[in-house]
Amino acid sequence: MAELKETLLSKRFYKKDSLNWFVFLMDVPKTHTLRTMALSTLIVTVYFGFLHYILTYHFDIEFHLPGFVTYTLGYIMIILYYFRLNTSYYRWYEGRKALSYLGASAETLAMKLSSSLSENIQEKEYFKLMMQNLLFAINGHLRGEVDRTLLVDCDSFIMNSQHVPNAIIQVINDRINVLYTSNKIGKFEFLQLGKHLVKMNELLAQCDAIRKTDPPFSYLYLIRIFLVMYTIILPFGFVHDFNAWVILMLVIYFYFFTGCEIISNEIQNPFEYDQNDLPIDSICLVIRKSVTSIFEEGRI
Amino acid sequence: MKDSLWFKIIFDFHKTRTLKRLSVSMLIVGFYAFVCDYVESEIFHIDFKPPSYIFSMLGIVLGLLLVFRTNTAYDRWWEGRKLLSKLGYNMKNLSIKINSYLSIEDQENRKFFFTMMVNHAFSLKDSLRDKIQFEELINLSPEFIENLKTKYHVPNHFLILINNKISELYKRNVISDVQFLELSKHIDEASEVVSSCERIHTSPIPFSYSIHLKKFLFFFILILPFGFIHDLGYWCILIVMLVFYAMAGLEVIGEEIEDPFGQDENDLPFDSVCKSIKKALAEILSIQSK
Repeated sequence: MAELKETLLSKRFYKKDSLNWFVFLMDVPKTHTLRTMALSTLIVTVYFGFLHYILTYHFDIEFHLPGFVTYTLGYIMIILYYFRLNTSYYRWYEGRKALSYLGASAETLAMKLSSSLSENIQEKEYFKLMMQNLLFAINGHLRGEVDRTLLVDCDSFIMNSQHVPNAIIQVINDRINVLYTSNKIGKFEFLQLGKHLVKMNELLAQCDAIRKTDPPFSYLYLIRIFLVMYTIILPFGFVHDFNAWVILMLVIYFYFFTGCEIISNEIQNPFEYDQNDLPIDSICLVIRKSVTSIFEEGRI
Repeated sequence: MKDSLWFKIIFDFHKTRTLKRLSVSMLIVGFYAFVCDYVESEIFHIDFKPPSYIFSMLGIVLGLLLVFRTNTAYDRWWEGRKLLSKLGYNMKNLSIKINSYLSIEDQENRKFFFTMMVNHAFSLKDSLRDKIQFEELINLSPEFIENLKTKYHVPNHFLILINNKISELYKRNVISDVQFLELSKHIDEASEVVSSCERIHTSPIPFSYSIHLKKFLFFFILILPFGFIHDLGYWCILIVMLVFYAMAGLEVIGEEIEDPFGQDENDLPFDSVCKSIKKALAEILSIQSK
């Protein structure tokens, strides 16, 4: 667990004992929100500035949105954005949950295998290898590509399979079945072991569901278009007191509003390599080490 | 709570660390407001008076970000609490079953299960606090502890030993196959508790999100004095400090309760949960203390 903590906590800015709230400013350059947003923010600033110029020096139009219009539309937007942020966050957290249950299943499976096979060193060695392969395969699978060179002692069935983790689970299942039919493990041990393989497959499918399905596109499109429209009409609410300061405040408003969306976009698929995505490699490494150490525990 | 005076709670500020953690920053903010005020009213007289509803608009966005922060942090805190009670009832159920399956004379095995389960709970607590306190573990020989120090994952190690013992009892026909099945079920749950607690401990809210919120709060406070200067003069210092305390306070509390397994004043009572597990198990398994 130490490695996982290292990776994760290096990303966490929170210093519990810091008495100065403003130290976070040093961590601002580490996030990508500003860089992603730079161009759009610039364009919006130029638009506001242009409008300010036109309205002040050229046309004296009497088109003034009452404050409550921008205000009310803002409310509606907020609700949409809250929904967006929530769903993305829960996808992210569900991915994390699935991985932690996957770890629990793998560890329990390893514990039960090694206690059932107490004296059978050869079988234990086989399962240790296969479980390690399985975790390499799961890691690769969640990243989109399984590096087959990492797999040790696998036959052509696994090597040529389309879905490597499934193939390995199948092979492990076969082996457990052989152990059962040759009476090396009892029927209740057999029942126990099977359960965990099923569970692992289920969790893997859960991760795949998050990985392969984005939220409905129409929805994302609508939210973005709404924000663009809103930004276009926003300055008209401030025609009477339009000046450089108001432009600055509107840009800040735009930036933080849109930033929520950028972050939602980034975390909605947590199995990629973005900065906020789950540290899948270290999570899998931790599970793999833990499983290996379970198999290597001697009997008491 | 029975308070004769509803706002008596304001005198309990020494019980939370939020004020202490924010005091320096509040002074900085107050000083900033003072500088703004001074420069504006004594030197420059820039007549900058933003329309007040722009603050309301910014305020809504800030409210959204803050409520999301508070919600997710609280979610973890409460999930942590539920996991603690799951740890407790799972251990109790396991020991209730062990108690009925083993004969009362079998003090050796009873004592083994008791030791391992209690140590599992204690070491889980310590591993979530990043430091295993070996002197806290009970009934272990010095050699065992030396061996334990080399282990990859101490709470799991105790779980492995429990599991091995169950399997051994099954093979020696001390317990029957269905009883074995019943006991094994609790190993699964215990393992799930361990990995879920570790998940909460190691997954803070996405980094960009927390920075985004802080950035926004920063800008909000930066422009806030200008909303009041014309109307309130130097009183705006107080308002700005108050707003900062309320907003940043929520944020700071969120950070604090997000990882609920530590020893801060808002963290979960893990120590007392472990102690109550110890007492309950000793009673259930009728351990005879020497």
